[in-house]
This record gives sequence, C-alpha cells and structure tokens, in this order.
Amino acid sequence: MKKKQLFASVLAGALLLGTLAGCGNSASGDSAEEWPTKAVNVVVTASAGGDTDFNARTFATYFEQVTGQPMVIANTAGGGGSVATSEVKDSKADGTKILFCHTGQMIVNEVAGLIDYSMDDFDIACIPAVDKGTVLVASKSSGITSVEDLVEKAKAAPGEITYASELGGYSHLQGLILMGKAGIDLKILDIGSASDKITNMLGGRVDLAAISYGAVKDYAETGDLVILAQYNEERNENLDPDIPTFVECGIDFVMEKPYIIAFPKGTDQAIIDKINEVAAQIAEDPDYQAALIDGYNQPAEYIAHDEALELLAQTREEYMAYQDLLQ
Amino acid sequence: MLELFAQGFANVFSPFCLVLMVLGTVIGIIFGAVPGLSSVMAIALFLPLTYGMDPGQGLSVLVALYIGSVSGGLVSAILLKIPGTPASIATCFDGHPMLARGEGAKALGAGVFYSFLGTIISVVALMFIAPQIAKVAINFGPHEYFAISIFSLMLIATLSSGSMIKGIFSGVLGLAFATVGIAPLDAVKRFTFGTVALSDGFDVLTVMIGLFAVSEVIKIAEVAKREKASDVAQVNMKVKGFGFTVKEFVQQIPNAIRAALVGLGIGILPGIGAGTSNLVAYTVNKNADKKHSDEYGKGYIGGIISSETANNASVGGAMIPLMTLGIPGDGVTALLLGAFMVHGIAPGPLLFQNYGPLVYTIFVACLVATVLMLAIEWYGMRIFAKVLKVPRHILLPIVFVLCVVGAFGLSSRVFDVWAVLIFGVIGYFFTIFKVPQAPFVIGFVLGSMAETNFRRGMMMSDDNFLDFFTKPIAAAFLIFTLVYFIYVVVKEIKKAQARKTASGQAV
Repeated sequence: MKKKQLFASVLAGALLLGTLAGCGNSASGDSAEEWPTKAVNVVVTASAGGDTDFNARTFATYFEQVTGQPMVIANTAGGGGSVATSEVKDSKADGTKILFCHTGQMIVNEVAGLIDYSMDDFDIACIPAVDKGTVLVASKSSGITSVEDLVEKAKAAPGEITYASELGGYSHLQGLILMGKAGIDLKILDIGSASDKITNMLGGRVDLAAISYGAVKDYAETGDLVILAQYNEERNENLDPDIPTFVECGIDFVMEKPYIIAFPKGTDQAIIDKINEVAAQIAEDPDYQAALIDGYNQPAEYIAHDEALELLAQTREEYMAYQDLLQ
Repeated sequence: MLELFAQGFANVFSPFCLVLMVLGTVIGIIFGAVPGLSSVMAIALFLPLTYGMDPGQGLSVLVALYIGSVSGGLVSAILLKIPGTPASIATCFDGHPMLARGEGAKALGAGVFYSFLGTIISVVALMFIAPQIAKVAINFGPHEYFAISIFSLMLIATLSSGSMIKGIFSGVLGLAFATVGIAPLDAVKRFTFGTVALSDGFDVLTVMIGLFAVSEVIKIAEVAKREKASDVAQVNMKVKGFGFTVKEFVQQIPNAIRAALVGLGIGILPGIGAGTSNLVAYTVNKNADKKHSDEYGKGYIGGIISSETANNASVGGAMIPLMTLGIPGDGVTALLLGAFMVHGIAPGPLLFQNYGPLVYTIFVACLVATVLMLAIEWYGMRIFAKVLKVPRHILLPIVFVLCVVGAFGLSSRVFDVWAVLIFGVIGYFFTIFKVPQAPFVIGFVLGSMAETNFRRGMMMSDDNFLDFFTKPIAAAFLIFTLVYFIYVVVKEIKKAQARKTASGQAV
C-alpha cells in the first residue's frame, strides 16, 4: 500500500513539474517574433529517399544551423501526397507544423480533382528550391533522336508514340502540356514510378518519359536511352551541357518544379517573414549549394514570398487549362 | 577483379565501418524480430544518418540493417508464433509446432543457418551473374506482372490444402480489402466514405501486424489467467551446432535449392520481395517434397528451411536490378537507391565500370553482414529463448504496445493504429474458425499488383485482352495457373471420394 502511495506522489510531483515547465515555456514566449523557439515538425509529401525528401532534409540541416532549432521530418507519402497536405491544412496555425511539397501536390492534385481544396487554403511561405533536373527521354527502340524528330514522327502518325506517366499526376500533366505546346498527339499510358518508366523503356514497351537526369545519365551514355530536352527556362549547366531546352527546339514550353514551404491558414505573418529570412540565408550557403548539386544536379534557387505566390498563381492558371484532360 | 575485392575488404574492415556494421546488424535483427517494426522502417530511420558518411560506409551500414532485419523475423515467428516481418510469415507454420514439441532450439538453429545460406547464395549470384539475370527483369512489363501475381495468388490460396475453401475465402477477403482507397489509373475513390485517411487504403504492415500479432495477443489473453508455470514452453538450449544433423542437412538440400531459386527469382522482380517469396517457396516445397508433404505445418524442419532460405535469398535478388539497372526491387531497395543518389551516384549499367571500388565494397559488406548475422543470432539464441521465460501476461502487453507504436510509426497517424486493432479482431475470428491468415495477406499484397498491372496492360494493348496470351512469359504463367488449379481440384475431389468410401466401409 505504502509503495503505491509513494508512487502516486512521485507521479503527481512529476506531473506538476511538467505543467510548470510547460507554463514556463509559454510564458517565456512562443511569440511569433521569436519563432522558432522549439523543434519544428515538417510533413514531407514523399517517402524517404526521393528528390522531395532530399530537398526537405538538406534544407532542414541548414535550418538548424541558422536558427538553432531542429526540423523534424515526417515522411507522409500516400494518396498522391494528399494525406500530408490534408494533415497540415487541418493543423493548428501556430508555426509548429510545416508542409514541404512541390507543385505536384499543391497544384496538380487540385487540377486533377484529387483534393477539394487549393493552395489558397494554406499560408504559402516561399519557394526554398526549384528542381531543374528533369529531362524528356526516348527509348532506343522508338528511334527518336531529337525533339524535332519527335514532332515530325508524331505528326506523321498521331497517337502512335507512347508516353509513360502516372495518370492524374505531375508527369501526366507534363505530357499533356507537351502535346498542347508542340501540337502533337501522343498516346499517354499509365506506367507508374520513375523506375517503372525506365524498366518499360528499356524493354521497348514505351517510347517517351520525363525522368530525373541522374537516373538516366548512364543509359544515355550507353545509348539505351536518348535524352531529348530539358524542361528548364535556361540550360542547367549541371546536366550534360549538350541537352537543349524545349525553347531552343522551337517549342515554347518551360516546366520547372518548385518546392514549396507552406503553413496552415492563419499563421502569423512574423513567422512567414522569419522563414523567408532563414531560407534566403540558406540559399546563400556554399555548402548547401554544393549538397544540392551533388544530390540532384540542382542549382540553389530561392524565391521569396510575394514572388512565389505570384509564380504559383500563374502556374495554377496555366495548369487549369488542362483540367478536363487530366481528370 | 581481385584487386577490387581487396580494396573492398580494406574499406569494410576499417574499425569504424566494422563497428557500424555490427551495430547495424544488431539493430536490424531487433527491427526484424519486433512485430510492428520492419526492414523498411529500420532503413528509413538510418538513411538520413548516412548522408554524412562516405558512400561505401553508408551503404555498408544499410546493407547490414537490411540483412539483419530480413532474418530477425524468424525469432518472433518461432518463439511467439508472430512473424516479426512479412518475410517470416511461413516460418510460423512449422516453427511454433516445433517449439511446442520442445525442439525450439533446433527450429531457431535451422532458421539462422538457412538465413545465412540463403543470403550467401544470393550474394554470390549478385556478384557473378547479376548483369545476365538483370536483363530478365526488363522483359517483365504489366502483362507479365499481372500473370505472375495471378499465379502466386493461386499457389497460395491452395496453401492450406484440406480446407481449400477457407484458404480461398481468406485470399478473396484480402483482395477485397486491397480495393479500399484511390483506384489505380483513374483515381476513383473506393470505400473511402469521404475520409482522407481511407483514401490511401490500408498499409500492408497494419494488415500483417493486426492479423498475426494482435490476434495472437487477443487469443492468448483468453487463457493467460489460467496459465500455470508448467505450461510455459521450455526451450532446451543445450544443442550441438545448429541443432540439426548432417543427415538432415543432406536430406534438405533439394528443399534449400528450390527455396533459394524461388527467393532469388522473386527478389529480382521489382515490386515483390521477401514478403511474398517465403510463402511461395513454402508452397512450392510442400508440393514438391512429396514424401513429407503431410508433415508441413506440423513442425517439419523443411518448412522453416523453405521460408528462411527464400526470404534471405530475396535480399541479394532485390539488389541485382538495383545495382545493375538502377531499378529497386522492393521498398528497402528503393531507399537504398536514395542512399546512392544523395552521393550523386546513380546505380545503372555503368555503376560497375564507373564505381568499381564502391560496388565491391558493397559486395564485401553483404558477405560480412551475413557472417555477422550468423554469429550474432547464433550466440543470441540463448538470449532470445529467455523471452519465453517472461510470463505471457507481461510479455504480450509489451508486444501489443510495440505493435501500436509500429503502426503509428508508419506515417504518424492514429488511423493506422485503428486499422491494426480492426485487423487484429478479424484475425482473432480467423483463428477461432480456423481460417488461415496468410492467404489474406498475400491476397492483399498481390491484389493491388494484379489490378494495377491488368489495367496498365489493357491500356497498353488498346483494351485487347488477348495480349495476355500472346506474350510468351505472361501466357506461360497464366496457363500454368490454370493447369495447377485443375490439378488441385482433381486432387481434392479424389481425397473427398477416398474419405467417403472409407467412411462408407466403416458403417
């Protein structure tokens, strides 16, 4: 009996201390000006090991160096990223939970009708990085050697050349816009992830796909796959410098993939200003820049709040034109 | 090549790297043995830590975690009748009956030894014939995947001969649960009842933890109060070597070879891995090992050998397409691909040429991790067995907590915890009515694979179903499925008739 009492009083004491500590914490101020005063939870819309996760984790490492507070990454893949976006949208707007995603989850999911909310339901903070590593690739068996060749062959046989995508996803939209801008008709297939796309292109079952340069550079060297063009506005010098942009090939088509940091709606402007400040500082760090190039051949780029919002709104409008085709 | 090997050895045998690998193997075994923690979790957890290491060291640690965790599942499968990971589901079938018979040490010994053998065989295959067999994987498109998933489904539905109806019932229920969530291709929401949580469907790990672990906890909770100290299984750990005789080893060579081939083959194919191969190998051996067919499931060493050889053979198997084609074979190798990528290395056809020393470091790391696994598990057997001395009313609540923690850890949401509990109740009713759980899990895993690939194949073939029969590999698997189905049905009918006449004579 005595033992129990002792245990109870210890427990009570511990609880009391805990509460006091908790009070102390909030008294010293969770005020927005001093954000972050404790670890920040970051929900990433992809599983560990991919480009989105890599960007989030690299950013997080330098975030801790700058602010002294860690970013704790939670990988919440699933539902095309909608599980993660919904979670953050419904969280308390106190700056403790952040979403790290890219335009695929923030815009394409809305365009495809996968989610019934939009980027307006978040407080978008900034674009901390932009993926510039994606290239359009043709299989060896397709016999396609360049963008001009592709357009010519596609016009000769509309709907014959196959394009690998994940239906309703970012790569599907990439295909649709390419068709629209180049004025050609491709047969869009659902193939799956990047590795499925490579397998099926090597097996000669599909002709075209948009894939990260790093994953296909060996095959370009062996000649099993042919890189046709990069989706960037200007040539990314970290890729093979001979890869032309679509614009250079005569097609007015740019599709860079910005990563986005967003908060639940109603977050204090001071917090948003602060993370912009931090992100700007990180983007200047030479170690951070080198890490991005090592990992995904990606030059560091940071787009601040106002400009980011404008860019995303513009992107959304552009993508919305393909709403009927995507759904 | 010898030079590269020497370089690999030098890299792995640096003190820092070895310490990391021992640690990795131990942690891997623990993640494997604890129901609720899995290989994927172990590696996802440690992957970010390797970002700062050099690629050779980082990948050595991850390989050690991988090999340890695939093998570690056998411990809980044999001692608790709860598979630690999906890779050890079939190990329960014979492992626990052996334990109940007082042959726990032999079961553990065989499991450990054949895990070792399976890994070694697959690593040797990885080292010497990887580029040749990797080309096989490229020939598998949607049509072939559909055919092979149907084939595996049929194989496993008939696993529980004698109560084939129950096996099929369980498998079909698994198929039904696999349809929950966003449909492949057209993203139609099925059975989501308007919730976000259900839109992603159920995670395979929640299904497995629920069906096997939680249901076992509920079942034992029924009787735990009446349990006497004498009921607790005693494991005699005083055994020589691994507990089985040389004669048994020789006798089991065909089983081990078949299991290794199945494990390797399934490992090579992207999308399916150790979680499927252990069950397929078990079924194949049960059918092929004619003399002992009836002993499977009753505590036969061949059952453990089938499962444990196959699941570890899938490790090397899954590494083959990863390292030669840059195509990950399962969840774990997808993470390993990420580990390569953060160092700016993209595995592919030129990996061996451009990064020879790294490749051989990984080979050596695989071999070293396998030996470490053998040593740690063999010495650890005595410690593992102590788990059984813990009274079950204390042990099982701990297991239960770990299951819940593991479920929450999947993607930090409470939904998965509820899912585990619900599948636990379903699994409990399964055990009451003697419905096997394994076909449910396999139906669940292969169901979505079959559906996705069927629809992709149809899309590729312009909705022409005949394409599934004009592609040679797909056709072969589909026809073999049909033949096997007829064979099993005829066998069952004959059995029923034999029973009838026997009972007729008795009257």
